[in-house]
Amino acid sequence: MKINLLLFGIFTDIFCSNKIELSLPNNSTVGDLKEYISKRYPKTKNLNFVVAIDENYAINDKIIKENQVVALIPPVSGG
Amino acid sequence: MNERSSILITSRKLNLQNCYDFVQDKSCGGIALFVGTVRNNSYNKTVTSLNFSSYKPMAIKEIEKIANKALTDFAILKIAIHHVEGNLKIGDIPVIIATSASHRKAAFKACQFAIDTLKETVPIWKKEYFKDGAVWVNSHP
Repeated sequence: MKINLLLFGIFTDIFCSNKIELSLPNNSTVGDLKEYISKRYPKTKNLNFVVAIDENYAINDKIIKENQVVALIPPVSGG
Repeated sequence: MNERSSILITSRKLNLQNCYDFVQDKSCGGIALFVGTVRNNSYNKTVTSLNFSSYKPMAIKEIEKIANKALTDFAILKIAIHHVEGNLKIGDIPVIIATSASHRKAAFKACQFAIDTLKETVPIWKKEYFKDGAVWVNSHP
């Protein structure tokens, strides 16, 4: 399945974009996505980040469905 | 958003008076205000400017959660949480939290809870610029 991944913070510098499209096997989990990102893009390897699905923080076991809004969330620093 | 909370993420200058006016009420004996300000140093280096960016729809949702929890868990009447996005200069105000309550303790506690939680959960990112580079705060390994 194809997913559009929203990027924020340090990821926008690493990818030189605020969005990328990638293909994942059906029924991939958030944990699978994190592993894919770390392996495929070595510059992200040592970065901490979490994933949001449809604007909610998602745990590693959560299965990603096509057409969901998926975002990589690096450590926040508002305030 | 409900009538007891005011939530805003804006690229305009924040207005302290608006926050105060929103939370003030005749039934309240105190208002607590937290005003964040941009300081001129970080990592022992001189900060020249900074930028805040957000995942705005999610950030609004997360701020709503904070406001709702503060209204539930503390004996406050109202809460305002306003945050800036975009470029800021030294001394500018990136965030204002205002809480009102019958008694001061609840106002203080709710205000502290709100800013502490905002810094942990709300998807907003700060990039600090120095003369010789820039960093995304908290992000580098």
